[in-house]
Amino acid sequence: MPLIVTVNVTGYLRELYPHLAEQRVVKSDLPLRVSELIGKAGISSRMVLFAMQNERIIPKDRQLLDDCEVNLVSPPAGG
Amino acid sequence: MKLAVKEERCSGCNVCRVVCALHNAGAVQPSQALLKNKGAFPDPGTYKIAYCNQCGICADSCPEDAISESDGEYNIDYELCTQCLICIESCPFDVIVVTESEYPAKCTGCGKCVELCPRQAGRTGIAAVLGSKNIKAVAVRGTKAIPVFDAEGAQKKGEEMYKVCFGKPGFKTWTPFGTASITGWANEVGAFPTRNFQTSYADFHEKIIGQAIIDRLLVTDKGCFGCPTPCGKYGHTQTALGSAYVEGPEYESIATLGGSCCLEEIEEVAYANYVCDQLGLDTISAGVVVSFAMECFEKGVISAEEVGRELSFGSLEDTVYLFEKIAAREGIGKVLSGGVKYAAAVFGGGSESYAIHVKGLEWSGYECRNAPGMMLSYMTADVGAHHNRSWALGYDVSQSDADVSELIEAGTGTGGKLEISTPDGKVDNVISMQHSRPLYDVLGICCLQSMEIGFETYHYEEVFELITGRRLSWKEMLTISERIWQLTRQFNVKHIEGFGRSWDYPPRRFMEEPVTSGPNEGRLIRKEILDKMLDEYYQKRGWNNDGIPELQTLARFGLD
Repeated sequence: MPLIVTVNVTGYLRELYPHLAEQRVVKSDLPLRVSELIGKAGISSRMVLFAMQNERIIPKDRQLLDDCEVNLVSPPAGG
Repeated sequence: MKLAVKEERCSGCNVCRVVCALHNAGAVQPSQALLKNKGAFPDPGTYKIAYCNQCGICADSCPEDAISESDGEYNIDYELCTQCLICIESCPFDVIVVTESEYPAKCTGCGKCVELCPRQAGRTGIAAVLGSKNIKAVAVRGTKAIPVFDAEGAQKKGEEMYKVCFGKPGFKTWTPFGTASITGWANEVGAFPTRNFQTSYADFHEKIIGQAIIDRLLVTDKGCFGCPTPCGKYGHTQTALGSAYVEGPEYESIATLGGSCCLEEIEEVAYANYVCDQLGLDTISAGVVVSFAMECFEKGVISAEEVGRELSFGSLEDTVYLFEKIAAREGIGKVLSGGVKYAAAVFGGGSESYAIHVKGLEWSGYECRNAPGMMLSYMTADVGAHHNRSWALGYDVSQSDADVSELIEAGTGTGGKLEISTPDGKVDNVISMQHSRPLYDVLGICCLQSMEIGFETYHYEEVFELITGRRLSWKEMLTISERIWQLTRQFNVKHIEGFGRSWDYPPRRFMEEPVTSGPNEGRLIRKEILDKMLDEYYQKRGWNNDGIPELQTLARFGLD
């Protein structure tokens, strides 16, 4: 059974990667860390300020569980 | 919460009353507000604020003992209240009102008025321009409501937009951290202006990042009026120079006061921010001017005698000293109050190469020697070196390519940790952003709901139609924004003698001096590549080689 992760990108990531603007489901046959998910989604890791799960920041080396939802947050685009 | 007011800071905007009525009476009806302000005309700018100080006189006067004290606040027990309204007559401040249900209502110290007392707006020196013309305030009075095409529809749409906003994934991540969350990132990608932009990396950054605000300053979140995502912070700071309640600091203030002036503690950054607010100075320009003066002193361009003391990076005392001199236009402050462009012309000694500005406006919080798109954004912004016209840094960082651009120096020493960012394609990115970003200002809305939370633009199309009765697509609005861009360029051409290409270059430091440390150590962008980008930019804008709009371009936008 493949691992299934739902990905939301926020802020500037939506502008940089329009194909990810809507919620995406990523499937993987192998275990997946947050950093690997970012790579798999085709996102520059430097543009991910942090990843969040259940309203909490999670480290980028966190192993993801099946059927989870991850928000990838970009740096604020000018403050 | 017991309220306290500073009448000398009140602008009479009435937001406190609108917020109070909204929160306590559920209506946009300032007459229901539980505080009042009164202009002392004909002395513009002076206001008297009447508010409940929880004196308890109303409780003493109530024949039914329906008003009682708890934790220093007096509250009405509506089960005991007989609607005699004697409390209203007894209130010495006239701030108890009759509600629509004919019961009295008094302040409970909820503090909503404090949270939303408005934010500062000081960029580009508009207050200095008004001050030079002896204008203290512009007062507008009206007796009729502003017409709305479909008020009921607009209200419903507003409620819908609130719900949409709360449902966005970005909503939960944006408010807690706000703009200051970018500090650590800017440092990590070598874009954090430090030591008057000598370098783009601060090794003390962990003491001034967004988390430091939350851990060491934060009292509450604070937003602009009516905002569902209040991203501002309100905190308390304690330093050797004193303590203060302060709004912020936002990222830009951290970058210029913490980075460029090297104030290494968040408390010091916040205190410098507070002093700027008190004196009416923009933290971006004030921070860059002071860091410029510090470098001039280090290089011997100005002396202790001229300044009135010695200056050093990282000194809060020196920073505040110069802010006060600038605000009073005393001594060295008289020169510095003209901004870095003017000060460099007065000081000489080669200081113009590190007077960090474009078109006389001090550079905001992003160092660009490995960010050609962001550099072009600053160079071509109509108001000068400001980030809100276009923020192309994300394109620079995400689209780095080590194989392109021989003209950006590869870097030496510990540099070269990051790939070189290519200028290819950046002109289109910048032009596109220069139409979308200012459009939010034209519409009078905050850009952050769209940019950070992911609010779809069709909402704005619908609201625009409900308010004005006119249907415009987002694309049509962008065309209007592009027309404004052409207009402001033409305005500069018409009103600034000799305006043209020479006004679009950054300071020589960025073209000739490599970054001194951090991930972009050794990097710079040579003038040749800036010229190449400017050529392409002018051509795509329909401007001549000197950056002047062609007649046919102006005609295309009805500006001839």
